[in-house]
Amino acid sequence: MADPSAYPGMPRWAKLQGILVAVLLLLTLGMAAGLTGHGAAGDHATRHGGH
Amino acid sequence: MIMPPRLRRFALTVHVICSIGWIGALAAFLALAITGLTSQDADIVRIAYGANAIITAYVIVPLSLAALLTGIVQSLATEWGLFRNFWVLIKLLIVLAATFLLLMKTGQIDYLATAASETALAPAGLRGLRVSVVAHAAGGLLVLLWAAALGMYKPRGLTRHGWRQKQAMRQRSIASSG
Repeated sequence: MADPSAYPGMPRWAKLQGILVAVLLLLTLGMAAGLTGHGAAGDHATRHGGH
Repeated sequence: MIMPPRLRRFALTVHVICSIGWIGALAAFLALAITGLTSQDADIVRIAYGANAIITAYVIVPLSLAALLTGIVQSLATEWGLFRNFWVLIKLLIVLAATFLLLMKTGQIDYLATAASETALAPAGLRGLRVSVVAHAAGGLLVLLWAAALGMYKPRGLTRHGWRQKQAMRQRSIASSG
């Protein structure tokens, strides 16, 4: 029988949304790295070359 | 620290106004960004990107920071806590990510407004950046709706930290009553 004073664990909805949040944070960091890395140079080239 | 009920209601009202205002302003931004991307009229493109830069600087960024700050105050000053419940923690991470990305994008939004005002942007000009602004606004809107839904439904689920605090409080109340 389960110990009633033991931590019941993470609910299923929180596990699912936790994975989604982890994906969101990774995307955010990736986009931030992209923006700081070569954003301005790429924009300048696009502005004048159209590519 | 727990707020008195009146102050708590006021803080909650400010938080809800800032959060919903942020969503509304971002929806307007998205409509203008789509207009800027699809319109063939250079004047409309210039106005759309100019308006987007103004909305970002004077509405979206202040509301996002206010929503984040009031949300933190609201959770720290109530029994919800910042790290006690999964829904609060997930919402905090969502809003932090959205605010961080928004602040990172403001430079590009300003750049687009300046480019559109200085030169008549051809339909293909700065295409990648214009598509990126639409995609980020649409993604941001979805993420904010997700955060708003979490705040409305408040699904159950304590973190390990929240569970320990609850157990400690229960033991204290048993000890004081016995």
